[in-house]
Amino acid sequence: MIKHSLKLIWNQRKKNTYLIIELFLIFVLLFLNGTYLIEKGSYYLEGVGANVEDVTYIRLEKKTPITPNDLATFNALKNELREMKTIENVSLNYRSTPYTYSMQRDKVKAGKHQLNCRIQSVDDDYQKIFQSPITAGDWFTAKDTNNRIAPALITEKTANYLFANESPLNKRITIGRDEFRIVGVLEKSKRNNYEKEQHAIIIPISRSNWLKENNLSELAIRSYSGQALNIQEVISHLRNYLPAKQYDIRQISEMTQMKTNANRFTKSDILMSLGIMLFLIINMVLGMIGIIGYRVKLRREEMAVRMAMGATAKKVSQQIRVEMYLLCLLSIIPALLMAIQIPLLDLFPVDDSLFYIALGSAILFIYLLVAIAVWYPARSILRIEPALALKEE
Amino acid sequence: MQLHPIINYIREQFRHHRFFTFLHLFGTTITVMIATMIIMDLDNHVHPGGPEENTAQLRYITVMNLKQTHSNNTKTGGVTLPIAQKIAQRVHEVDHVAFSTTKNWTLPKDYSVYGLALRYTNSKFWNVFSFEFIEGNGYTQQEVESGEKKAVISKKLRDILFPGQKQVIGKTASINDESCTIIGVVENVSATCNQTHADAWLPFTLHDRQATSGMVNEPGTYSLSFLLSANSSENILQQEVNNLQAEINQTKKEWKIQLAPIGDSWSAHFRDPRGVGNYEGKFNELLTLFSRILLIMLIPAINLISLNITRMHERSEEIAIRKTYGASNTRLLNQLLVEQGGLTIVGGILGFLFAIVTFLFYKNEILFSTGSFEHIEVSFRISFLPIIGSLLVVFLLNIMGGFIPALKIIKIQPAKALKGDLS
Repeated sequence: MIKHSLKLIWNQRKKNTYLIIELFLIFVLLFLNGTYLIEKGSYYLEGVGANVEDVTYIRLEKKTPITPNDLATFNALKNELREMKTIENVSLNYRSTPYTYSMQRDKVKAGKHQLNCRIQSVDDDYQKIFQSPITAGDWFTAKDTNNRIAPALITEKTANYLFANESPLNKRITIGRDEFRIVGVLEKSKRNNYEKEQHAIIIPISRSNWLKENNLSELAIRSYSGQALNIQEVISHLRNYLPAKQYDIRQISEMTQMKTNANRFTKSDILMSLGIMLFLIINMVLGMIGIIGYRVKLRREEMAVRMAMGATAKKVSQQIRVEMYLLCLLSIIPALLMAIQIPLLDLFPVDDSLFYIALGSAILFIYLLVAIAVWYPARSILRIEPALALKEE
Repeated sequence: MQLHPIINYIREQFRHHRFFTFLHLFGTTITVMIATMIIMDLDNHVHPGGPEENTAQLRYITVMNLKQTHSNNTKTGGVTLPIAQKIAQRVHEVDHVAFSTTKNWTLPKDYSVYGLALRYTNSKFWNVFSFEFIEGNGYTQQEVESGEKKAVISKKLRDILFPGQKQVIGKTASINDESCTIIGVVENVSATCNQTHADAWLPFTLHDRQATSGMVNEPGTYSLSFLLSANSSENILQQEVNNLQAEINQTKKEWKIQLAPIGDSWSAHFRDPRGVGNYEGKFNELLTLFSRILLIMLIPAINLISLNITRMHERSEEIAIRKTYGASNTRLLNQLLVEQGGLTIVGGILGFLFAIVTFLFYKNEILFSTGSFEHIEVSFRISFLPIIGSLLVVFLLNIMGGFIPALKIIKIQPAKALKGDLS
């Protein structure tokens, strides 16, 4: 049957050329777009390791560099803000808040291993604000931060890289000249949903670059759920400690809004490519239904004769299906040959596993599309009444 | 051909095979819609209207590189204030040179926070760009030099600061922690206007000292705009700027500056996000854009070809009979093309309308895929560019989807076709 179908395809090669080109293009599109979507989708499903619901973000810039005295000012401010009825907790941090674009990176050393890491400088209340899940150990306390060797947390990804199978707790690591002791492991820390997770280490703000020729400070305020934060009241408290002559308030935003903004670019990119892909797929499927349906109509007589000679309707309709599946195979073979080169030559900036998943799902998907396209015409064959069809002729 | 048969042809074509008609329309409509939206997006960034209506006369320098003499170390950013001031003072070829920089401003109001934009400018800014003043006017050079706290605000900001009030000139308001006197109110400026958009405009002398002086070896944040008059030459202007750049570089030892060439709104849109280099003219960029549209068109076009070949095969007997009765190939081709063209043009018009409707509802999302736009003001306009673009797409679709099958079908031999041999 396959041999016969191939012969039929060959005989109709002129008509089939356009169909083959179209299937080939759709397959390439499915594969490329699929890789992109699967990659972004898997990043999105990971989460960022922070709950930003009911959190408000304030970005402050001092007009002169920050000094150790400022830490006391911020602590007093935090205490006063906590007395507001709607506020649950306040945290001071530096280039660490999720959904902001600023970050700092540095080399982290542990034994022989060395790693370029995102450094998050936060205070001991950070975890209460963002509720990041901890998988081992605990968050550092205000007391810990004054120890001779400062405490630090690392993410699971970083722990796996630096310490492989050992427990990272109580291990020493160094950033530049400063030594840190690991007190806990964080499940995850990402800057936004669609980003690939980077290695990250969390250190106390009082032992970080915040105090080194810097003028940026960031506050995160968690309010009790469902209670709106009176921002003007917060600002009046803020101004008691941080006068306008010294501090500029650069930004005040609800973090849910910041999340939407940070994800918007990738999200609209995904929606756009999905929309265009959907249109092209619908276009192709409907076109194929039309063309196959027309061919079935032309070959009605031939099929009626075959049925009259004893072939079952099922067998005849199967013929059409096999023909289309073979046609699809013919059109994706050149694409497959090209795609195989990609991991061999290292042309694609994605993991090999992702590549094979995307390739596999593209093949499955294109066969699904062809199956859908051939379903209606093949079913119409089942309704052919040999006697009627031949009489009408 | 007279009008009547043409309409008849098209009507027949619509009725003929409704499923194929629908497919033809669907393919054309959505393709034209996508293409029109891509072109409209570009057009609205390059010709944003509003204060930048006068695109043909406006020229910009918005990026600058700092290059270390003894290494390949390069920093990219905007123009620094001293350089912007020097160019604005010393250029003679054009009468009006504006420079400005922007800053985000968070305005808390009760339970909500407004994310707004401030723009610090020189006084010539009001001459270079054509703002629509509702009341008052811009600040003068003297007011800028003496650092007076005067501000021009947009209609939107007026409604936030002074709800319900129509006349606000002379009143004071706290803008970014400075209490400023309002001296003018202008119509809202769309955020697509890269060089003018803001909610409040202030003299550049009010900008933070630290940020304005900048570090010696850091690029700045300012951008320069020139208004060409009828008898000023762009080449001479460029020459003047080059001379100034050479003069500034003589005083600099380690880091040399490299200003981007003076460009129009096209280059401001395409080149500037990528720094001084990497721009080969708008023709190349348009070619890239066009090939992208062509790529999206490819699948629907191939679909149309195979669809139309099938559709015409159905009519091969009709065509064969007409051929035997002496109809010429040209006449048959004309008829087939008119039938196809009718469908494609209807699809094209629908696609164009769909694109505009989509823009009406989703203009923010389409024109701004990054950042926040809770409070942003975006307007769009339809100029001749997207109309020409969508016409071109319709034309190409018709050539590919209609012409190729039509050429094939008129070559059939009547004797064979009438015998039923359709291969």
